[in-house]
Amino acid sequence: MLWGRDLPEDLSMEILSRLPVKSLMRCKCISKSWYALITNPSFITMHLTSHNPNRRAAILRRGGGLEHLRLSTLSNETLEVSGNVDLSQLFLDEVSKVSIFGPCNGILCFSGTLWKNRDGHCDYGRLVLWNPATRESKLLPPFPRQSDLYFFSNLGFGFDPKTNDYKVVRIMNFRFRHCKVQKFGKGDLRANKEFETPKGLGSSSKGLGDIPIRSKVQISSGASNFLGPVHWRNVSIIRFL
Amino acid sequence: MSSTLCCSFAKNVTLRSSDGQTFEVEEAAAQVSQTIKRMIEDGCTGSVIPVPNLTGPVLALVIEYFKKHSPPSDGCPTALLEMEIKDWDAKFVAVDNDTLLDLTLAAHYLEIQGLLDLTCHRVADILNDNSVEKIREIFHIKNDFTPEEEAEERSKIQWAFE
Repeated sequence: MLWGRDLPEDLSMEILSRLPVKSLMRCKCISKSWYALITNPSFITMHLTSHNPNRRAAILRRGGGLEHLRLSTLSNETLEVSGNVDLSQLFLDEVSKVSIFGPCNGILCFSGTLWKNRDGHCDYGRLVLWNPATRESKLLPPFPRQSDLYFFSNLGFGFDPKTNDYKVVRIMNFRFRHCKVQKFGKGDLRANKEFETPKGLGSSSKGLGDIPIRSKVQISSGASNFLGPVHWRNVSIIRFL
Repeated sequence: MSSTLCCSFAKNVTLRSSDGQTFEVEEAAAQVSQTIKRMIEDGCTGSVIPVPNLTGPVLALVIEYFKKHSPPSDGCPTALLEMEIKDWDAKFVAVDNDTLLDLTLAAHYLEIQGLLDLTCHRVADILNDNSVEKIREIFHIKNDFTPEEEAEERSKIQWAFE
């Protein structure tokens, strides 16, 4: 029982959806049933979609590398900027260059370029999903090493309503006109299994349809990531000529 | 003539609480509740309308709310009237915590959107303004975490306690 008495669950959700995230985090410690309700995906969706005047905007301040990546929040009502959270702890390894993707439903995806991992091996990227409101993060498994080291890669981060899951897609464009797509989803994360190549996007550009030879497949940036689905397009470039 | 005379009087309905208390209230005022409005439209006006989820004292409070929020007979509410209602609302939910939850439940069962917003907001304010320990005390909530579990959970979200 959530309260000392019986209250329907939808009514409790109605009350809690009016709280700012910081208070909700504290309320998780009240009892096990409070914890269960606040971490319930349907409540999280309700809280995300409800009008909440306490909502704050996240401001990322960055310089060159990750050591300068800091988070502050902006109040919707007073426009007051507060907080200065250090994001360098999100990556376990030292990364040299950080790119930001999203936000998608309030979640950001950071990709860091990594030259040497803990074993001293060369590596090519670390991905972290981060929720600025709850400050929770998830380090994704590293990309598998490629035998051909020369490729241009392009990342996309979005929400797939079909599987009710977030996805990170990486398209790699190799020399000799072949392209490869890798994706992360909940299933991939849980089992930490090998990357799949989605249907229609084989290891050659054939499956993509009418892509001219000497072209590069790319994920369109900008608004498409906000709306959920990630779209890709192909762009002819001179570099491969 | 008699028919026009009849219409000049407000029509009343009778509401009966779970403990059998009956209250007479203007039909227009009772229709602030969507649940009661539907019952009236379905033709329940002839007899007493049962409100089995509410005790007499709570129903009496809800009827006070109905009266204050019934649509004015002479057109649009003025800005002054709206301000007065807002003040009245704030005082109306400044009650003990058990009564506050009673009113929240009543607004939920009777589908009174204005009262639901008002009470949920008030409960949310109490949750927002008090410590975890105080919230447990206010709403008689049993802490079923072991001290270790609670300490671990708190350590993960230290920033939320700052």
